[in-house]
Amino acid sequence: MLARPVSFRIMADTPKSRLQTDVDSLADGKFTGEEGGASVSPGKDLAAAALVCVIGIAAMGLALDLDAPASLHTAPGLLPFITGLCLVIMAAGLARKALKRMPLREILSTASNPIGPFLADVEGRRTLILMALLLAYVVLTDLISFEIRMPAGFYTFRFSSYEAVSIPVIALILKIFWRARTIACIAVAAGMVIALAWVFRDGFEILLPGPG
Amino acid sequence: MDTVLAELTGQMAIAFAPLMLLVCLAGVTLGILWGAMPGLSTTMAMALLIGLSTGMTQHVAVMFMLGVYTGSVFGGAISAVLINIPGTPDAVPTMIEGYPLAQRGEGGLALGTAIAASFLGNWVGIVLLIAFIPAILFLALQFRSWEMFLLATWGIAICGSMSSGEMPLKGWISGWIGLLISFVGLDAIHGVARFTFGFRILEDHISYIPLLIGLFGLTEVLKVLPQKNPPGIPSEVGRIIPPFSMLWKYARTSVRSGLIGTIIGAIPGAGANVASFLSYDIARRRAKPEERAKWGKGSYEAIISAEVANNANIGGSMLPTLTLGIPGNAAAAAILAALEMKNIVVGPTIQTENPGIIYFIYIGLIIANFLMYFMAIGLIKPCVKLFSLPRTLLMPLIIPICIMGAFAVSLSYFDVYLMFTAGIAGYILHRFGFPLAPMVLAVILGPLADENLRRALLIFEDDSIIDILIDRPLGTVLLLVVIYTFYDGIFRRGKEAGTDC
Repeated sequence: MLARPVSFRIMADTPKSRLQTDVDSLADGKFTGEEGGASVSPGKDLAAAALVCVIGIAAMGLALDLDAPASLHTAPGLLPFITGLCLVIMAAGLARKALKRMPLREILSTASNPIGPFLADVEGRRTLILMALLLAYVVLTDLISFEIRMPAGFYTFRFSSYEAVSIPVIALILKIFWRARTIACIAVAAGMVIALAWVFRDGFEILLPGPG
Repeated sequence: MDTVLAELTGQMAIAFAPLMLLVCLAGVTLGILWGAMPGLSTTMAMALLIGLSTGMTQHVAVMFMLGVYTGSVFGGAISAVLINIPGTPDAVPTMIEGYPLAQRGEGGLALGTAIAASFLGNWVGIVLLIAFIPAILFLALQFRSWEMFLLATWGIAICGSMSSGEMPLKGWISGWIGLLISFVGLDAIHGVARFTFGFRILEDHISYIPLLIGLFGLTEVLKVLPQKNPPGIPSEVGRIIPPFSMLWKYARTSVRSGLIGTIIGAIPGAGANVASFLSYDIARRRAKPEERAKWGKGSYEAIISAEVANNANIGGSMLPTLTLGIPGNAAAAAILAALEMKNIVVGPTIQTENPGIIYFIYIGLIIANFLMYFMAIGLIKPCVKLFSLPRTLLMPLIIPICIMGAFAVSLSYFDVYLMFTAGIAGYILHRFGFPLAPMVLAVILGPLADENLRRALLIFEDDSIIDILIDRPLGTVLLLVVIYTFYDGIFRRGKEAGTDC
């Protein structure tokens, strides 16, 4: 049996963290997979199976609707239909496995508020905040477009909407998650965004979102 | 022979140009630092840097990506040994063995052993890559539509199995959803719009590069940033270079681990993680009793077994990537993307369509390996300082790189939205225990599978199944392999887990 390392600093987002799962699997001589096909609750597996089944059926329906200009053998919907069918079968397998682990009645009784535990968890709430900020960042970068050019001798300084949007958003994310002083967050965000923009735009001549 | 020599000399002249060496050095350095940072994986580095490589010329981009790949695979060992957090998932065995050594004041020696093992592992991978490429290319040229379809199907199936351990079903579902994504757009044979829902932008297919950036970049940010974590604790490292006698003592383990790493690397979907875990487990079973007693408490042999394997994996993963166009793992998928963006056609015809590029890749890997060795020794102490930076400071800075990278691929903001959607979807899939690598692999292989299946069916229109099985022995073997992969996942591994699938 392997001696367990003293402590881990990666917190669990599932009942057992990936790192702990990996360490345990090594101790047991069992491999849990490249990305750890994590064992989640039967309720989650059942919900996933239902969604996968819907996706599979939808794919089959859409595949059947496609035109088949020549023979069935070259029909554009052939492989999409087979893929959809496979997904339905796999979803049935996943559902069966979930129900073997826990009866349906028990799953339903614990699944009255499926989002509740996620929202009750601090990490869950922080993840939702991060997702909202990322969405705002992506949309704002798309909507706002301008560029200021400041020629200074042999070099022209450029400041575009991409930097203008990125700096405050990244500073805000740093403020929420890093929790340093506001001025430090702004300074780090500004420094990094301007440096990255320079590397992409001037160093490698890659256009940036917005005006470039 | 003369042509080969001329091509080799030509490519050596390109690869040893000062700019190339500098680019490779930059890639290796960036890779080591990236890999050393807890939470920043090799795949993430590769996915994000595809965007940066768009602004480079063909050879520069390839050299840069090879440097990053080689550097980042080793980088994970630094934080694993010094602060007990594996920088990359494949460094978990190194963490188990290296951290106890660091606590005893032998952290430097543990890292030095890991560096030497990584150097050796890379060599094994490169030598086997060079040795086997001609044979695999010859075999690949015999493949027709039916065989290519089966190969693509097997690639997705085995990736699903390997990436999800005891739950292959979840890996397969992830892969099959990836297949559906790959069908979006105009079909290649008749030009019929599939799954586009009337949106013209979808007719041009969904690019897998923004998906790769979203799934392995943004998803990682969403997974790691909201976690509350205390800062790492820097340590003193002490002596680094291990005595040669110690390395010689474990030569047998090194060769065995190198072979395991390369073979695992050549299997689609099985990355450095599988290689290091498997090699570590086999080495433990084969270790002498007195050595086995050290296992888990700080064994140098264990470090060698894991590090040789995960680095040999690089050469192994390049084998199917270059010869068949099937990435050996998610990081190799990023290499594939970078090659394709530079108009390098990978697959059986790589030698004829891109003369010399294979030699350039060999030389690039060798240069990257040497640079990795020296940079790793030089970067250990700066890395100790780097670990004092909290992840909550580093992770937000990855977000603009994701956006810039996704946009740079085809200068379309649609790709940025796609990357964002993939990032959110990747996080949800992760929460539900679905691996992400099979999805990316399926998006890459989907068009190949689709086109070849339909062509094969057209060719086989008047043949009976028996005729097909007899006339196509290679196809029949592949079909059996595909069936066995599903059988193994459903029955054998299910039994081991005490369930099915």
